[in-house]
Amino acid sequence: MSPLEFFLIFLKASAITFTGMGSLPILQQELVQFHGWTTDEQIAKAVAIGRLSPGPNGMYAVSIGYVVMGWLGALLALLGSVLPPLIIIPLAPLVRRSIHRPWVDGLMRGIGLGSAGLLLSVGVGLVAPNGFSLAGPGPWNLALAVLGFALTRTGKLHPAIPLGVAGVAGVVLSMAGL
Amino acid sequence: MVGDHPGELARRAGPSLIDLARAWIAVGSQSLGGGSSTLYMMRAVLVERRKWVAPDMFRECWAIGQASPGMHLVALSGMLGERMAGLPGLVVSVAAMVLPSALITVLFTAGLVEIEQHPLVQSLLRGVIPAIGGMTVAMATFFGQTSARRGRVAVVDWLVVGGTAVLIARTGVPVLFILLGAAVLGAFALRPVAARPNPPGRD
Repeated sequence: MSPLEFFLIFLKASAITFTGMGSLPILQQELVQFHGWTTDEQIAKAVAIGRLSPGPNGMYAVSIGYVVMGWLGALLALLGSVLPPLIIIPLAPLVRRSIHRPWVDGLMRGIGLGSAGLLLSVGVGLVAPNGFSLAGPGPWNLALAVLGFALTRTGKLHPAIPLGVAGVAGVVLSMAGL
Repeated sequence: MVGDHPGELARRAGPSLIDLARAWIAVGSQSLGGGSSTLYMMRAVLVERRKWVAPDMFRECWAIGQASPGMHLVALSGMLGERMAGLPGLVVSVAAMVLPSALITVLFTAGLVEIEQHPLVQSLLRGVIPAIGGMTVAMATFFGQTSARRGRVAVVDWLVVGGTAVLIARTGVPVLFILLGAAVLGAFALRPVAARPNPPGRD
């Protein structure tokens, strides 16, 4: 893999999505499905680290960069993630004028809803690697996912709390051989 | 303070780059818990404690930043830095906010790589990975809620969310094309319900 190609994946993931976590579906598709450079499990660990680290949620991308390509990968992931949002600075006067136009509002809504759907698919994929199959996830995986969902849903708890509870549950399940 | 009066964009004698870097390092390294706590910390440091940015300026930059691609908080830090100290302020603000956070993230990752084969860590991850799946679904529903319109049309918006999820899971179409399709659909069919045609004689 070339560093330039790696950088461009992160740049694209940040440039065509909104918010830090919005880039997750593109990174998952490019790095896991298209190139096979990492796994869904590594992506999940990176998201967990990103939630536990200070700063914006989008820093999870730096963790993925480090796992795949070491310090250079972390730097490329950081640059690729940080540069696209800055385009708004020269465009600020234009945005100020046009942000309330109905078609702009609709366009941004379309991207927001599309990103939500893509993120939903990634989340389900982490619980049920076979996707929307009839077999479904194992009951304990499903219970842990519901726990993570419920403790995150209100947005009032620090992410370390659901992750800590789930980690303890994982230890108990492993000790019980489940 | 930048923006003492509404609409004022003129720059006055702002903070030094060293002071600016110190403030953003505090924001980037101490705001635990993700975006909302980082935003809270930015406001607490820049608006309330240091008084470098007026509340109305902070609000305006935040609103514009919501239209940026990628991490909105990076856009916000760049905009505020540029308003406070020009182009050097932009560079210093963004770098000082993201570098400590990125460094801590890499150190956490390197630490996990070192110990992840330990049975206890494997057991912890056995619980954490499905929970991350659930947390990602929670984030998706939050995105959906913030984007969806109110009232009956919300059903249409949530169908777009569900349809997109099924489309990507079933077909593996590149995400870029899905988002472009969603943007075009949105521009034509997902406009605000309350929008009415402009009055005659107005553009």
